[in-house]
Amino acid sequence: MDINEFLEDFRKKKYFKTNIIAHFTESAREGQSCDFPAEMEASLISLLKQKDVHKLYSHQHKAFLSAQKGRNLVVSTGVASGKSFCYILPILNEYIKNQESCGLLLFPTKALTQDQMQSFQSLICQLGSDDQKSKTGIYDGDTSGETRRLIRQRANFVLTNPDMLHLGILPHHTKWARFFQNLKYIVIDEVHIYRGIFGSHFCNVLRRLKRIAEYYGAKPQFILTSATLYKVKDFIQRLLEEEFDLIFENGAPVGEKHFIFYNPPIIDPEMGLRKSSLQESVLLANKFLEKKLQTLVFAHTRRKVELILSYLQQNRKGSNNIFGYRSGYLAEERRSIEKRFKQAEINVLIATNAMELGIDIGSLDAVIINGYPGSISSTRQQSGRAGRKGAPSLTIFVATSNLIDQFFIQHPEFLQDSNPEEALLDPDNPYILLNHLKCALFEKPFSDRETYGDLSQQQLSEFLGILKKYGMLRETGEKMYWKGDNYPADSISLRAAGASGYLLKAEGKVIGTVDENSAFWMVHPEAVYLHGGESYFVENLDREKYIADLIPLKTDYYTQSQTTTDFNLIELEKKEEKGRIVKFAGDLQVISQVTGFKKLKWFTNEILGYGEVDLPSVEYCTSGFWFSLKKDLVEKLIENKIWNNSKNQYGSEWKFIAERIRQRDGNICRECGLKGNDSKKLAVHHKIPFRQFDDPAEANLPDNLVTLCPGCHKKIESQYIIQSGLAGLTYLLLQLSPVFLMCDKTDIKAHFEVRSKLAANAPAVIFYDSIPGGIGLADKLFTIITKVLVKASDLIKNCSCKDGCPACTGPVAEHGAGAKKSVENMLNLLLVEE
Amino acid sequence: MKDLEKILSKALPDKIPSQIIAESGKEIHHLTEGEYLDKPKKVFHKQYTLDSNFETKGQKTDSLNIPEVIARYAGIPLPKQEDLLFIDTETTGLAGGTGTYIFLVGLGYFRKNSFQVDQLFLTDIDGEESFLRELHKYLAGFTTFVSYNGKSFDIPLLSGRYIFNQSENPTVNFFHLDLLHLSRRIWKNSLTDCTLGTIEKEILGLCRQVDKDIPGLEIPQEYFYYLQSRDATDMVRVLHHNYYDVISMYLLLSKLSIFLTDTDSLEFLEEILGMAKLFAEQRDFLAAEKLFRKILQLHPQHKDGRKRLSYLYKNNCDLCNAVKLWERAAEDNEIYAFIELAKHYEHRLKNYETALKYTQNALKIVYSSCYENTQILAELQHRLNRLENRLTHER
Repeated sequence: MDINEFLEDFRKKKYFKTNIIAHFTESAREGQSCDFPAEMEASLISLLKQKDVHKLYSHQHKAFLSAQKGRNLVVSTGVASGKSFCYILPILNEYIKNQESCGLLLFPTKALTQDQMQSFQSLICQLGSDDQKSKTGIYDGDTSGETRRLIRQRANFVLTNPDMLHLGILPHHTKWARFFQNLKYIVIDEVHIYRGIFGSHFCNVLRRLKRIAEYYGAKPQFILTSATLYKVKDFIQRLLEEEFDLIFENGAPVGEKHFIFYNPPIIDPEMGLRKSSLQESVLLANKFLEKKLQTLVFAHTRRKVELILSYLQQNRKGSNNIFGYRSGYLAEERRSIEKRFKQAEINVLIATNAMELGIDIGSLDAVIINGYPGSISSTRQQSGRAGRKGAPSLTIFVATSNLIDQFFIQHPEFLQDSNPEEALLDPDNPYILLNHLKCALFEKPFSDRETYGDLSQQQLSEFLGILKKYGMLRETGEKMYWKGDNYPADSISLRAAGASGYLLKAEGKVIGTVDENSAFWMVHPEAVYLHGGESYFVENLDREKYIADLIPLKTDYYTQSQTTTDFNLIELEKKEEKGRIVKFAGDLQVISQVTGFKKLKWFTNEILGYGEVDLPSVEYCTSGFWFSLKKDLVEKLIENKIWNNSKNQYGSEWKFIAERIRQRDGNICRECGLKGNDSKKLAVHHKIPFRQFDDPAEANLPDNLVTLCPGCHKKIESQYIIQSGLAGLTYLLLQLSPVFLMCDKTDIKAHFEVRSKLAANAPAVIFYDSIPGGIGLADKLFTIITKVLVKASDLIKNCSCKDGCPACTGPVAEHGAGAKKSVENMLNLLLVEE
Repeated sequence: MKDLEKILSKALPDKIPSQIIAESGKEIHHLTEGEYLDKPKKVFHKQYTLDSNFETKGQKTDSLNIPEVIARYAGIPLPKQEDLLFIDTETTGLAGGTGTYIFLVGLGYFRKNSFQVDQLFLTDIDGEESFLRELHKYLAGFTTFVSYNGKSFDIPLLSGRYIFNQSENPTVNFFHLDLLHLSRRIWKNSLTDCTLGTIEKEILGLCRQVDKDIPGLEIPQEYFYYLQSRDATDMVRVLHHNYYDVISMYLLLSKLSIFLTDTDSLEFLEEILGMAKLFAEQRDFLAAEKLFRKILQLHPQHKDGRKRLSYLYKNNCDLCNAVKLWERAAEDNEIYAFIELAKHYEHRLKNYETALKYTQNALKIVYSSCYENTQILAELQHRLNRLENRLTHER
């Protein structure tokens, strides 16, 4: 059965029909192929013919010609379009002409390196001659010492990652002299990954690489591949700092593509409750499974992967055609799953976005995206996985009840508008720059006429001057030399994530790993951890040996941990009053603590109970910026009654429940003792706001309710008004700041506190660098916050939504209806200079 | 710059290092004898002839006869003493990499049967090119480096410097005898560590003069200080330190050569064992046997010596002697002996009953020991089953 037959059937079913909110079809497109170019070596052509390749797609053809002209080039095409040929062919062609020529291939992850190694080596081995195998090698943290030596001595093609280049290759470039002298091509695969701080670091690693190549008299050409990216040209320009040809087309044949927006049906009209998206995804995956259509299901989190997996495996005892795929599985296990999926031995694979990154798993019939992946480009990437050569394919986006999803499903046009997020980077961030200049100086002395990246001589000499002043540089003769007994690259990590992780052990065997940052909330003692569709009970978490001991255990529940984040002021550096806000900057200690967990019943998600966790908090110091609202602003906000939120729907029973509570409390305001009567009814207040509960019945439990007079009620509710306004404002500013800071969304974090001890108990919004130690992002906000606020105000005024949306103040449910209005008013008030 | 410095304050050291003003009259040539090899005075040369203070513990300092076993261990052709170039470098760091510079090279060699040490000292980093050029001249005529940890540190670093300066790398043609590896082989079990300092004290019985010397770790920083201050006081100590290292290497090789040539002079058990192992590894059967026997003479119950000797016999097809040792070890309930005897009786003598007896004895030991070795256990079980089968067939 093919997808079109499936769809016909699917759309006829009444149940599904009503859930389909939108259906886009991209019609099939014929491929554009070209004959092999005249410049291509005969032996390469015959190799390709052996591989049953008789023509090139137009983008491969263009890439080849552009490389022949000696140009740098960037290929930006769709998923599964034969992108790797765009760099493999020029490299091999050059190698046939000159057996000394070398190529450096950079991949963002080790897994991707392994994947590309196989296809690259199989080609080069067929080029004939004896020891071709030793011509290619992976040089990364897993490579043994002896293999490393052999690669340095003999390999023409080195596959590695930016971290290894930075730490192991460039600082030891004399060991690579032969390689650098003959370096002809530098390949950067999946270049769109290098954004934010990671990208800023990487840009500097490239600057150092070019400097060293030049030293050995090489002028390598760059070949980059990228996913479709908004403003790709600007981004690459900033990263590469070289001229390049942009090849922005796809000559591969594309089958008909269907994209369906699917909203689970409403099961409780009064509460507006929808059926669980997980169960709908399982239902859909089952349909595909029945029809033998190979399917990839994307889920947000590792836990969701496991949930879907175990639901799907129910009633299919011993089935081995359904698998999960996520970080935490062992590397060999993942390789084997990839291979088996490619060979169609696995019918349904459930994966996190660990699968998103170019790993070759072949082409498949259908993709189910459970929950909005957070960005349009990710959605497209995931959807691009579907589609066999020329055959029709289907993507179904299943919305969760999360408001972002609900927003997205109401605005399917977002998928088609070419307005995806911009990839940003700031290679001249002073912290990053200074650190890489140390490395560059270590690698090779600077002459006084030298430039670095797009820095002017003057800018460069300012930085070098600082290194000199602090005793890290010696200027003598005509050059500047590194002056230090250490290895500067050691103290710079290109990525924020820590290296160590916890081993998961069950019955004496290691079944997987969890990174250090996630261990406390994923495998705290008594947690139910899901792995490979099996549930495990965490017996013990050994924080010295970094081991979590698990027991296989069938439970009728799973667990969800609860975390709090707190701040301590280490040192206040700046404070300034500005209109109705007070700005602060300084060093903060960020403390996050897993405080406990909920036990949730499988399938129904009913809360079965709570557990306590006794784990130390995770603490780190970083630089922060925060601003507080002045008292008069807060008073104005409350006095303006702008919080007049729309009434919550408390359920049909509410009238009776409220009456019972008033009786329980003796019809007296529990705050001031005022007595109520029939004409002056007292209010019944939810101590924990109603909207924070998943289950309305739980929100309405007597313990959570209290009787208050209207005055006291207003006073207490106003707290929440501030809260929802602050939440919306925080969300909005966090969306906007990366654009001003040229960083990635994950590089900076924000929190709000209604009573912040960082600001004399005033309401405050707190920003901090997510990298321990900080690299000056939050600090920069101190200077530019007014600009950001003005922009925020513009954005909110021009946003067409009613009550807030992911594009402005964030999901309604999290921040309360009316949050948008609160934020708008807040911004108006705090931007008015008095 | 002030603003930038302020922004970067967290990435910079708390204190700006104090300004060091260059002094005059304390340059290296003021403080020690020697001469510059180049016009810009970047390369300073100092020469020593070995003074008689180093004749310690009755060791002769005139000539070296390296025994075959050392050359074989190092995988090099047997060098004559005039082929040897003892080398030790001082650097601006221990981490390696292209930003680590070599500023002092000490070279020791024989000239007309007397030992001589030369040093080349780099007075500023920008003189590196001529420094390496001068050094190149000194390397001519020798074939074999002798170093202490030079295989993984000094020589790769020196190679890197030549490549970095894009000049011909003379080190590639050298053979290399690294004394660290050899010393580890022999003294690993009897010394706390095998640094040259420990070897000096414990094996060579030398004692450095603290006031003249300098701890190795301080050397890079002292050199940086010198570059700024032009006060070479501490550099003189570095020169002394380097000179002493070269001398120690020479004395160590001399001692090793004597030990390994004339093994009768050895007294200490661990030392004898180390050397015996070295000979056994290099397949010098006679020398190894002699030393192992000496151990057993001194300590008849020395289990490790007995075990190693028994395997030496076994590998040399002298089963008669091997079995004798295994039988003695079996009396001490050593499991390997039971296993070897079981093999011997089963495969060679086809005496299955005795083989069974030894296997059962071995199993008894495994069961009674506090920790279980599952692999040995499985193997023994397997052997037991096989032997029982054979016996029932025979009957």
